[in-house]
Amino acid sequence: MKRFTLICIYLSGCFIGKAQITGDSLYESGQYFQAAIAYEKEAFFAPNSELQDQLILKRAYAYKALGNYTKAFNITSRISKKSDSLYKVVLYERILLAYLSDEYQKAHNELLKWQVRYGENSEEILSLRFLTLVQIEKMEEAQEILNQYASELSINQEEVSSLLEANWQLKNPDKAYMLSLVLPGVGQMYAGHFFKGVFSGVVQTGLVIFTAWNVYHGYFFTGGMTGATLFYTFYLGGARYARNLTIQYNDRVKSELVNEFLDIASKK
Amino acid sequence: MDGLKSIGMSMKSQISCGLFLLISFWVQGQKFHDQVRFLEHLETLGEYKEALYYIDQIGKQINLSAIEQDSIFFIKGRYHYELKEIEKSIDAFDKVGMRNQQLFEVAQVYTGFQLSYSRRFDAARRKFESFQSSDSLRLALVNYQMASLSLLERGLGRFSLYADRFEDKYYVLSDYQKDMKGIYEELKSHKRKSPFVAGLLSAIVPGSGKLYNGQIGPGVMGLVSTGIFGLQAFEGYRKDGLKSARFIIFGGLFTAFYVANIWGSVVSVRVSEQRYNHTVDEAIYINMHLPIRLLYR
Repeated sequence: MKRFTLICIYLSGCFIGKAQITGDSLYESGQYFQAAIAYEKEAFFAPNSELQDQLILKRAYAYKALGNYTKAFNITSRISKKSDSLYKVVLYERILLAYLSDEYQKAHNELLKWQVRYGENSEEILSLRFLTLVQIEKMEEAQEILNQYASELSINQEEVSSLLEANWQLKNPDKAYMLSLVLPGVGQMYAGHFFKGVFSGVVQTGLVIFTAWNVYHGYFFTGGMTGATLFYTFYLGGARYARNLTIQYNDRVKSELVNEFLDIASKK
Repeated sequence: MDGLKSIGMSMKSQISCGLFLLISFWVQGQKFHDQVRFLEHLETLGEYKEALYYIDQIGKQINLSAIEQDSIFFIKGRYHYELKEIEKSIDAFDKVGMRNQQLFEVAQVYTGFQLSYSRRFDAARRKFESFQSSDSLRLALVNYQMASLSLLERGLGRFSLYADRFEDKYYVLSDYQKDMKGIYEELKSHKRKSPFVAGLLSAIVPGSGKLYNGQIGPGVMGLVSTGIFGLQAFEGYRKDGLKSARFIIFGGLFTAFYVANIWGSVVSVRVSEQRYNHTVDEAIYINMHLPIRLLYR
């Protein structure tokens, strides 16, 4: 009988033991999806809102570990952020998550909140500010951060000057468009593609000559319809192409700066 | 004395054993209750994927009674339905047993709708026809679903048979019944356009086939583009004669555009007919789905 009792105790013990698989243990073993559910459950039954907030933050970490940054960001919006210490952690996460999900304007907004509320500049915050400013094309402000906070970022003077010497010059897509309208092909050259510009210029000059030759020889329909229509299509299409090339060029400049900065930061 | 003692001992252990069993059952009951509450919470968050995973975990942890298992399958069916995983949803709903009559009947309605949605009309009709219930609202709902299914199959006569049985006393249904009758009227008055007529019209005047199909922009474009090449070919013929390269090139282009325009008119009539059917089907699906959702979510 005693043995039976012990078996009973053992069984119910097993049962209770099974219930103690926690979000933390799942997270540590790399089962992030399961951890996210466990955290949600722990938060649902949490005795107070403070604990609940912490658990929801952990849930966001789980989705971050899964690489679903947008969802993780949305989860952080559910945290009531009553305690100040938690608010700070959450705000930092929101900046990082917004940046990781390529929502740079959102990251910038969260960074402004941070500046208003805390004003302090840790290395992580300064790095994120630098990267965000580059992504939203506020180049002067980004350079200012490098000049002002090199020591906080633990970057030495040499690295700062090598970063500042890199290509920071962005080009204006609308300017490329206008240039190509004024003189076909020049917009492409402005965007850094000389031969594409030459080709575009030659094709359009050819079409103008074709139109003029036909009209001169009395083929008014051919000149007016085929020649002029084709010229018009290439003319506007070329200008749009010049604008797209400029946007691509700017993206390259930004990603080179970001990569160089991350290279320097990861060397430490 | 020793004997008494041992009896006392064994009684004590029996009591404690019973207590432990009781506690473990209570824990299990409490746990199941909590798990269901948490599931509802996941549902309000819209986390159906997580909820489905969690349901499987419940199944592994606790030996569920047959009735509990039925409700688990029902919930799974609904979550897959929300995630638009039709096959999995139908599969789960099919496993709902008849122990709980209400769950069983609602599962059949969900399955019938999803079969209709995935255009397996025969299976859907069989599902609805075999439906039996003592609940008059549910019977009215299934009658409404059958009517809608007939419209999906474009069986207008069959629709009126079911529509005659529409009743106004269920306010959840009456609006949708009215809408479905509107769709029926629309289908009845819809005049199908003929691809042949469109092609013929375009052969006489390029672009007019598309105008007949109600496409003013493409019709004008067809006329202008064919006209452009026609005029250029005419110019080549007038100035350089029949054997000139200019006439041959533009004449060829004109012919190609002329023929393509006829073909395009035929196709565009077919496409707009398909698009019309698609739009009507979408409207039917929405009107089938909404009352189910309103009643049994």
